[in-house]
Amino acid sequence: MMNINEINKRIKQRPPFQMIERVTKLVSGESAEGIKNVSINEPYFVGHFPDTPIMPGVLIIESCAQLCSLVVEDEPSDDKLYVLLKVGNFKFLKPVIPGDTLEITVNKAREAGTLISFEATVCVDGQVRAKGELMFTAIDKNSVYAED
Amino acid sequence: MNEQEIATKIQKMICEKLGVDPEELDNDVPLFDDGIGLDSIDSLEIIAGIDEEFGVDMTGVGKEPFYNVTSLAEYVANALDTDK
Repeated sequence: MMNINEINKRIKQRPPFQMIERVTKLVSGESAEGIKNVSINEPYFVGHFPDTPIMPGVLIIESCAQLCSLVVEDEPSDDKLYVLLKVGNFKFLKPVIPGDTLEITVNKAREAGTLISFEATVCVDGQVRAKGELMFTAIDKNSVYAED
Repeated sequence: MNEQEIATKIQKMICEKLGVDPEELDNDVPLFDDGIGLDSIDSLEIIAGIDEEFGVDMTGVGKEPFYNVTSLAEYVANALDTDK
């Protein structure tokens, strides 16, 4: 199990963009299970939506992506960055609202060439709220701001 | 495995992994730009698919072999020949 301090040693995201708060199970290079508590204090609820706060689907995907990053990288690299390349077949079966606890599971589905794909499932109280696939690749950090 | 058999497998892989309509993909249609419009992420999927299917690593290879299915098959056939 990893608490938030241990997670912070492994990923670079910080509030208000930290979408995994506890890792309950981690098999390096293969799979992970983690938790994200959803609070009304999250800044995006101010506008999404004022009368009906719902966690944006893209942030549910981000939660899954952050958990995947813990699976692929044992420790952050100085020169390499894993980036999300493709999101496939994501379904949002029921809204996520303040008070929910996301129970996120990611399993590596494929690793070939420079690509790593995961299948992700997001549950609340044991019921599936979202599921889909994410694909990542590693890029050279220096290339991100390099001029063409 | 001859070049035609390799081309058939590549064609099938592209259709399955990238959701390309088989009727749209003959061996000579350009894969990128003005052809069937694949993009740079699709090219990474093609590299991964060829690695899985034939054990041929195309990482860092120039653009030319990616022009169409025929040129991909030619590259893979040559690489498999070299390995013998």
